Amino acid sequence: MRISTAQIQQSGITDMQRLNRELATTQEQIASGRRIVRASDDPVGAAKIISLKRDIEQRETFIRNASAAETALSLEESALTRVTDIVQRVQELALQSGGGGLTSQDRQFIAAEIDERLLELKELMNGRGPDGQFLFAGNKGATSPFEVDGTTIRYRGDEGQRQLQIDRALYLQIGDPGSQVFMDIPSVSPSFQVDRHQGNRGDADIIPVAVTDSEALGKFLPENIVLDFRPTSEAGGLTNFTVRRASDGRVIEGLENIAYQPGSPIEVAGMQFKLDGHPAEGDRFTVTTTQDQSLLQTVANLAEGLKQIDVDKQPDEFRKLIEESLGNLKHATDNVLQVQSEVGARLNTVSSVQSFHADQNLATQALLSEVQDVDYAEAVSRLSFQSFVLEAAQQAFIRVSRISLFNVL
Amino acid sequence: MADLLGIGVAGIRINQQALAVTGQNITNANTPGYSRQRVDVVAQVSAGNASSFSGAGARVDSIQRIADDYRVRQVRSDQTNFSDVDAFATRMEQIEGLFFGEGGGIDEAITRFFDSLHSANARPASLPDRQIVLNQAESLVQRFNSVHARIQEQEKGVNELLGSSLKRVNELATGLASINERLGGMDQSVKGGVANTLLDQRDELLRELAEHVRVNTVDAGHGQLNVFIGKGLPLVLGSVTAQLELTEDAAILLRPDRGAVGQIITPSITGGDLGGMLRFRDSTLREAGNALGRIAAALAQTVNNTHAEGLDLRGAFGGLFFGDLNAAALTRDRATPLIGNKEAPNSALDVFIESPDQLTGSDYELVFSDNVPGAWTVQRRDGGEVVAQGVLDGNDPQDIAFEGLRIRLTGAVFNPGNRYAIEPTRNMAGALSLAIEDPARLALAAPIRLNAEADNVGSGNLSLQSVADRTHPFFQPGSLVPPLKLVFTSPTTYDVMDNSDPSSPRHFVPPLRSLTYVPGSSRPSLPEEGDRLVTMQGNSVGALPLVPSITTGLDTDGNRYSAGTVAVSYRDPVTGAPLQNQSVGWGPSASAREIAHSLGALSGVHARAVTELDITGLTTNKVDTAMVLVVNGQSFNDPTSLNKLADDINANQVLAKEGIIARADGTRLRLTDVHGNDIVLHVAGDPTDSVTVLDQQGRSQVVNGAGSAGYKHVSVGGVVTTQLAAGVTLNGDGQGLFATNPAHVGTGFGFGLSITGQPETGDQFSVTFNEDATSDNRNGLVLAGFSAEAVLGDPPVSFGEAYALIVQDVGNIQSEADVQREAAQVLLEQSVAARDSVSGVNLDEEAADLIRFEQAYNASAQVIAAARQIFDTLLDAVR
Repeated sequence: MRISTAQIQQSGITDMQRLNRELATTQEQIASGRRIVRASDDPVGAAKIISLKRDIEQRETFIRNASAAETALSLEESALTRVTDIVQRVQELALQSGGGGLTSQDRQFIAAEIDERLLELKELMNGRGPDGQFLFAGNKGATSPFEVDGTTIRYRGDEGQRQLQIDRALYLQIGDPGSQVFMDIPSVSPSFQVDRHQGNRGDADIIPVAVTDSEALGKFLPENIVLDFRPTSEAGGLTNFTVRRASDGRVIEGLENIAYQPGSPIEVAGMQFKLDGHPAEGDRFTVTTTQDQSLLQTVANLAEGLKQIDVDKQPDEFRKLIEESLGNLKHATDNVLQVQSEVGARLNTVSSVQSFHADQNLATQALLSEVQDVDYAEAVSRLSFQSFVLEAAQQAFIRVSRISLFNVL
Repeated sequence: MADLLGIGVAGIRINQQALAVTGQNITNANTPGYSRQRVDVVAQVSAGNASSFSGAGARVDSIQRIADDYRVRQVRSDQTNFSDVDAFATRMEQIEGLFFGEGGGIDEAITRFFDSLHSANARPASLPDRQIVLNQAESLVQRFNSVHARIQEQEKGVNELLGSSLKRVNELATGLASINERLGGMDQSVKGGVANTLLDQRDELLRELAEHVRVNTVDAGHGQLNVFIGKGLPLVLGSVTAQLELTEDAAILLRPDRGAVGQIITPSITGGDLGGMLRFRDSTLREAGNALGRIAAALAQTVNNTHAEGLDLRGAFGGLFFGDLNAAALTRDRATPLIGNKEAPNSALDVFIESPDQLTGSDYELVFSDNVPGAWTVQRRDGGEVVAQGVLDGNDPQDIAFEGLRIRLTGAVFNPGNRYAIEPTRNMAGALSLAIEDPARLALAAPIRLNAEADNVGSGNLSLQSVADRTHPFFQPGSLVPPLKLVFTSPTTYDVMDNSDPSSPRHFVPPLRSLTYVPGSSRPSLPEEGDRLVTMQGNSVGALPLVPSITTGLDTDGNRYSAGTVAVSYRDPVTGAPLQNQSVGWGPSASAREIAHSLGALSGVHARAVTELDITGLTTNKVDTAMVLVVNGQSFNDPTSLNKLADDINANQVLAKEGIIARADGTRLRLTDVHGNDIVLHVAGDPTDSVTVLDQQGRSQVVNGAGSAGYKHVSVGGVVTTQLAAGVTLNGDGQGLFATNPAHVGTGFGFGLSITGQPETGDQFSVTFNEDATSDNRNGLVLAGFSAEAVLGDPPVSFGEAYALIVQDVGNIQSEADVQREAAQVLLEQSVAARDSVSGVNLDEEAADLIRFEQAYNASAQVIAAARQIFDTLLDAVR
């Protein structure tokens, strides 16, 4: 075939351009360390890189979540440990006060220490996490959950159990609401608690005094009580009230349209409480009976009992106080210990999930590197081969283009 | 002798010309498009005697241009293919890096965004963590926006290149026309010379034209060529040229002549860089932009929808997280009338993104039929697949829904033949914006607080399933109206009650009683959105007989309900099309339980029955005999008070088993049969012993003793409440039980709950507004869950995977383009080589020719010298 001079030149240049391009690609791979520099180098591989990277990122998120969970759970664990320590001290004090040879002065001292411990417990239960949120308030993290007002204990949090995602389908509970840890504790004898209705306009409040007849109260359970001030349908002064059963509105015998005397005690179904303050028309209170007693209530009752009960005059009541207190404290300890063991189990989950993710990520990293990273040995030898070919092409080009008949004319 | 001189002179002349042509060849060795030339020499014959020597030298017949037209055409065709794929691949290289590469990827921005949500979930009250979510969202938005901007820049860049390419095509066309003109005016017998150069120039112009667009030529005679481009569009006809222009919206317009009316020819342009760039701009770039917009739109709407269901740090429902992708300006922008439409005034199209998970990323065309008034079809733009069709029904506005989209047509008139381009996701990556500014407004909490009552016995647990409708009147700022209480009446049934007054929860009207809970099922535990309740409420429902009859035994004459029928009609809940109807009937004195059972057999109908009877007065004076009250055959002797009677009834094992519950508050005793059987009350005693009974119509009846005659009794039927699924309508016969066209009371609370575990009878759960829930992250968990959840398309993939698929597609297109470019280049090189092997100048060859012609020239000179010598010899002889 006939070949034109321009053709000889052009084909040489085209070849060298191609070789240059290949060399540049290899060089780019070596310089970046990546086998796939552009998605078109290996489209499936490129998509796989994105998937694998996302997988790794996600596991790292889970690992981060797990350590956040670990922080929260450890914080809870240490708070719970301190709570059990204090409860133990209160148990000792209860035993000590029940022992013989103590003067009433001594018991007052013990009561004073229990008061201190009560405050300490309250502070612990109202402890905050690093973000300033209350640890044991459920989801109401900005609300101080435990309120102690004399012997009235109120829980202001809710039952929210915060979770964190630590694996694709694993949500780990990272906190326990205070109601579950410190409130819902089975008690030796039934107890009750009182609540003002939300719409109340007066400042009257119900103050629980004592369970006077736990047998009667046990029978009454799980019935609750509603106390209404001067329902509009009934005659009577502003200060009259009626006590009803919550379930069917039945009036409790003898407690219909009673004249209100601030501070006078009311006895219903073995419960004694008193009313204080200025009620307004239509005000309503609920007395909830329960088989549970909160830890703070138990401690507060013990302190109050030690202060109020005269051992010599009311030996039975005193003995009952100590017995019940010890029983309730034991239940409280059991409950806290159970929560603690749950927390421990969750901590175990955290660490096993963490190491699982870490292992998985190692494997995924290896896979990623296989897809993404350049094989240096192969690339470098390719580079040297390609540069060798390019040099050869250049020399051939020079030699061929030098030859011309005109040189010998 | 004179002949010899003439022959020698001819030789000189011929070889001179041959040397000149060789020189010309050498000089043009590197001239593009030059075809080497050759002098064609023919021997000259003298007109002399045939028997004598007849040679008369030689003459140049023509200067021939060595060119093979087939090879020239092949070069042109391969050139056009190469320019096409080269332009395409070069453009692709510009966008490939946008989707895949260090630090440029949207994938990482998506991952970081969800990651920040996870961190915020760990500390929901922490403003710095919330701020990071906003920052990451902002940078995600910026990534989408900037990639979109780059895509638009690419489009602009392509349009500029198209413009300059078109300009060059016009110049080439003008050049070709002028060559045609010159060739046409030239004597065809003239061979070589000027014509050769013109032909070379013409081939080179055509080759260059082929770089821009596919070229076809047709011989027009007189040496002229008519030139057609693309799919047979005339560019040069004789000496007339068409003009190509780029319109304002970047379409290509062809004017057959300067100033003539043009026509859009964009789809007819193929080959060359114009073809390649159009292919890039109108399919690949557009598809990539659409796919990206699809992810942006789906991400924004999915996050927005969930975010709106949550509560922010201040206890208000979440606002827009990303900007609303269904804002008026955006919906209007998604539909464009095509050129040639006859637009009616005030008609408008809005395209809404309804279900982000169903978005496809396709573009569509809405076409109104030429023939059938109001008939429309929606076609996919590439492929023309019909995805929806129908006929306008004259409503204004009206909606067309398909593939996650809803087109709203406003203004009644859409003229026949009108076409609209529907581009749902094209600009969404650019339109994505962040709406939320205040980190406290990030809605991580759920709106509902669920509390199990402290004295619950069972292990039942309630959780929030979803918030279907936060605009439901149930949700008020900072509260639920009313708060709810779920009371389990058995381990598998529960009532939903109004808990406005926590000390005495009330039933709703109509009541939500005895809903069933199937342990282990995830059925929603509240009536579903769209369900409606119809209650049996004719005059005879629950009515008492006016004068109680006297029976000797515990006989009963039934509840006196009339026989009845109920018709239930069905409509398709989505399209509203009527489906077949069903009806049921029952005989006289059927109990509410039996009626409910018949109704419950109909599909889409749940029926529950309950019977209630109130006793408001009790007089027992023990004048002669003590009063005996018999409830469903169980006797209660001498009831002293309503309270005691209630306690006794509740203590009765038989009645408890029947599901009869008594509740008394001292002045009123309510008997309830939770299954809806009739309640029969027999009274024996003195005429002065009596009970006052109140029926469910509010009428009272005194039932007193009949002395020794026997019993007086009343028998009361119950009430049936039907819960109808969406699209189901109930119509009674008006015969005392179910009214004709009874009221259908909407139900549902705008959210769903699910129950798990094993509740026990009497267990209660309260449902309240989730106020002050600063540590709640339930909604945040749902939001963060979208990082891995497969929510987009069918089969569904996660956002990240959807993005990886774009990268894979773009990479595939690019690598295919690279392969095509390489192949086209090889073909082009081969065809250029083939052409050059014929027409190209080989300098060695020309050098040899130089030697050859020089020698011949010298030889011819020798011929002249010989002739002169002969002549001199002759002169000397004569001298």
